[in-house]
Amino acid sequence: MDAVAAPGRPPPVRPDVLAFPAPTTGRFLVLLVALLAAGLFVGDWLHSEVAGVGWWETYQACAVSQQVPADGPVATGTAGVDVCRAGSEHTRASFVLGGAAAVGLGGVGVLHLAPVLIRRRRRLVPPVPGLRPAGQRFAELSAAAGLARCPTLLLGPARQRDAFSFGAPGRYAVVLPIGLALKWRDPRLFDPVVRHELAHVVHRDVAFAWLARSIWYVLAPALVLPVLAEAASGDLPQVLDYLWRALLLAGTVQLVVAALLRSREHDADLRAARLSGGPEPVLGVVALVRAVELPWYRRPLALHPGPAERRAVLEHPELVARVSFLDGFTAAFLSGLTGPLVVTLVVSGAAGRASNALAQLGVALVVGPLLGASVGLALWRASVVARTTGRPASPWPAALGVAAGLVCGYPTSLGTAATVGFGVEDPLWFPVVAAAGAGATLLVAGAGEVWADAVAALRGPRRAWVPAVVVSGTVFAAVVWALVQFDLVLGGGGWPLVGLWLLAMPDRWLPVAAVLVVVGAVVVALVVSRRDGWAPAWIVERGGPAPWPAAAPRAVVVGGAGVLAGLGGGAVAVVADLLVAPAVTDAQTLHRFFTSFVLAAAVGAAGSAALGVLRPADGPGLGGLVGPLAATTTTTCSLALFLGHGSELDAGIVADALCAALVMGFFATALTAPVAAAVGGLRRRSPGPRGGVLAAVAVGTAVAAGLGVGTVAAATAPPTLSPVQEYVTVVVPDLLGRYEQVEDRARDAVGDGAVVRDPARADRIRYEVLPPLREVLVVAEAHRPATAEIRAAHDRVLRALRAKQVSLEVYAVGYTAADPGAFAAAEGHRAEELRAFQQWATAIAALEE
Amino acid sequence: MDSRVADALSGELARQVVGRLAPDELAVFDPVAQEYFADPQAVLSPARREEAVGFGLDLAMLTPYALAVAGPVVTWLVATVSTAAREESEARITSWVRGLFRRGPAPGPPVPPLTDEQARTVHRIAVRQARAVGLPDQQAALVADAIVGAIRVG
Repeated sequence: MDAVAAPGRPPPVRPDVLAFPAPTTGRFLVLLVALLAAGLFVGDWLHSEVAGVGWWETYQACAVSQQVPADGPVATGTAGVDVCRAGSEHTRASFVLGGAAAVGLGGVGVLHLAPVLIRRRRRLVPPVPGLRPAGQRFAELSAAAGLARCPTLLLGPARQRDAFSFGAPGRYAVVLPIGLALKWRDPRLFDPVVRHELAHVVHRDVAFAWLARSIWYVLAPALVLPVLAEAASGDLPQVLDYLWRALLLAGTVQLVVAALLRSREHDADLRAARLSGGPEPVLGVVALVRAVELPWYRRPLALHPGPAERRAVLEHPELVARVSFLDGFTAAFLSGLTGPLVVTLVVSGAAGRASNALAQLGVALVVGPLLGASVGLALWRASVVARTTGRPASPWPAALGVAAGLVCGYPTSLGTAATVGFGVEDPLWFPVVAAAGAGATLLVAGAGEVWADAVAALRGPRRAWVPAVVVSGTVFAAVVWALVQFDLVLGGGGWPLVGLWLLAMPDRWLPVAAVLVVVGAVVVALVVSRRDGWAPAWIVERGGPAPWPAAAPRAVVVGGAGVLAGLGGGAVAVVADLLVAPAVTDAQTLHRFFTSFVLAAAVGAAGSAALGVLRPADGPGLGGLVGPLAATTTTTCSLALFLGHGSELDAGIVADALCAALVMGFFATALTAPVAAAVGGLRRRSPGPRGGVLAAVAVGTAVAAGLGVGTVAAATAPPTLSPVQEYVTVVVPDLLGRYEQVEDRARDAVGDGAVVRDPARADRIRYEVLPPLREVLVVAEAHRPATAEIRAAHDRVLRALRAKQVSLEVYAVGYTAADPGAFAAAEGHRAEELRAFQQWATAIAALEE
Repeated sequence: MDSRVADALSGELARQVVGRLAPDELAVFDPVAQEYFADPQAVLSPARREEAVGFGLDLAMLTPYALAVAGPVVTWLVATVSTAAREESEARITSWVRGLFRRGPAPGPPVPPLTDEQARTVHRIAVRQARAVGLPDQQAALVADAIVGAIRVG
């Protein structure tokens, strides 16, 4: 029951946790998507059984025709290869999508068939004429619950002792035990139980619970087929690799469904309590529920919480708003299982039409909003509910759960079966993914704390939870997108390529959107929140009035801290520019340009981290504003320096620079947030400073980070070379090395140049020599000589390479048709090549003098 | 005695008990009794099923328990009346047992009521059977009292 208020004080607030949509709805959706994604696997397996041989032959033929190796990641991303095999990939995509569609449609079919079977097997009947008044009372309660269409009331046989609901959407039924129906006159027993069941119908628990079961009834047999097929073929390692993943999925589905239904029971109790005018009537019926002692291994499969737990939640609804480790883990784990399967579908479907980047985007846009609607929404709700009771909610259990879930989900997915090392290229993948998952969750939770300040000014719950889903979904989508890209880049080129990717990240509009969404939400929250606010009526079920003071600093302070931190980073850039000699070579200019991104990102992340340390609860959220402001300010200072040095900057370069700094800062913030929040948590001084101290620490941290970046940049900067030195010591050796490799192949392919018909030699020239030669020519043509003398020398090597290309092409014609004229022309071009090379060497010697 | 006859007698006795202790269950007595006699154990101790999207209740009716308790009582009454009647027909014995039930004037010649000692024996049988089928002590005593109350005692 509600605690008695102290004299002179308003009664304690009973929060209306149902004002927010239930995060369990989001988790149900994650589960349904994961089940459908497993259907994608079944479709892919069926394709490999039915059309796998033809698919593989097409793949190899296209790789050969495009002169790329048939194995390895290069083949799948090469545009020519993708266009060549688009047809077979689209067929594969049809199978993959068909698998999911079959599972889904089958599940829907079972969903509609199951009620008929249940009704028949359980011998459910409408109330006898003597119990017609029970039906009338049921209809009254149904209308009071807001149901436009009253569910069908059925009675079970004498052995039926519990009430339950079932049915397909739009045709729900509530079953009551006869003993309860007979007591329709007893409002202390009949009404609370019926209201509880009607709450299940209103809340769509019946639909979700039965849809999840129905899909599983279709999927489980489908998952057995590959096991049997592989076992029949005798491939035991494949069978085992696949079997344990399928069993893990099966176990996860059972545990997750049970956990979700237990949670929904609390929601149904609370809804029934709200309809009953208070928790007392429902508490009275819960007292009749016998506590069942289950063995420890069966407790996770229980569909109902124990009566003691139900009583506790009815008396203290805020308990149900807590976000646990398992809440975060299950959502992230199921999302991790789903990701690789969605990639398969999108890559196949988009082959020849769009780049593989669409696959990464597809995963992010599927998984991100689901995590937002489950974990993010739960965290924002927890922040708001905690304000009503004065007991803060820690985001750490959920953050650790998300981290563990992502790390465990991806390698154990059916989509990574038959891959080496569970599809993970480098062991460092695990801590990076864990840190990113935890950091994203803390960032989302921090933004929720900031938004909770504004609740007093929000007129309705929708203005509280819609931003929760939008902000959380965008943040999680951006982080998931980055993790998928990170995995591909790490596998494709190792950590050096990861570094390049961070600097020149293509298609980064999603993380930019995440930054802007977080900035927007934090700004709005800081502006509308009041120091003297009161809890709004929509969050209070009983009690109050309760004060609702804003905890975060004023918008001016937060914004000022961001700008000052950015100016601190800009000061570091200015000082470094004054101390270091101007850039002379292209490499130096490029190095300093990219260093400016890193500086801005480090300053932004440092500013955010400082807030995370000083204010563990809302600091990560405030950092979502401070970081981008600091990064933008520092970038602006750096760009001003480049302009001062005469660099030509157009709007595109400026936008690229700003986006690069913002995105790098965003991801650096996410990765460092767990450490910052952990350090902040050790300080045990909540909520933390609000004014000058905040700004000073942010600036100081940013400057320190900037100095660190500057030190590293100085240590890794390319040596100072004159343009001639750079050309002679860097460009020439590189071109020579490439040329020598091509020359060896050409000598081997052309042979002695005798006039004979040799189509095999012609093919070798065309497919093994000319393509790498063209690449060397592209590299040579890309070089921009710094002086006229260097340009004159470089033109000679370009002439040589072009002459070589023509020579080889004509040799190929000659060998195809045994044409003496072609051989003569080829030798002429060859002589021109050698002359141009000699001239190049002479010019280089002249440059060196 | 034929089991259907015994079931019918048990049903009549149980109906009187239900009428005293849970009269609202009389509206559904016949279908519940039918289900009980088809499979008594399934009704008295149904397999514990945790219903998805249910409440978690375990709400049993009195009728099956009344039927379960009435059975042995009727068996004892039949044995007692049979001993007294010795060579009488089954129909006659049935009629006499029915005549013991306190339910308005009985057809045929009046039947001598039970003695106090016999009533106490009936009570003991009823309590024992009620506990055996899972009723708590307090409810078992109530049912036993109602059973005795439904029988003519001298």
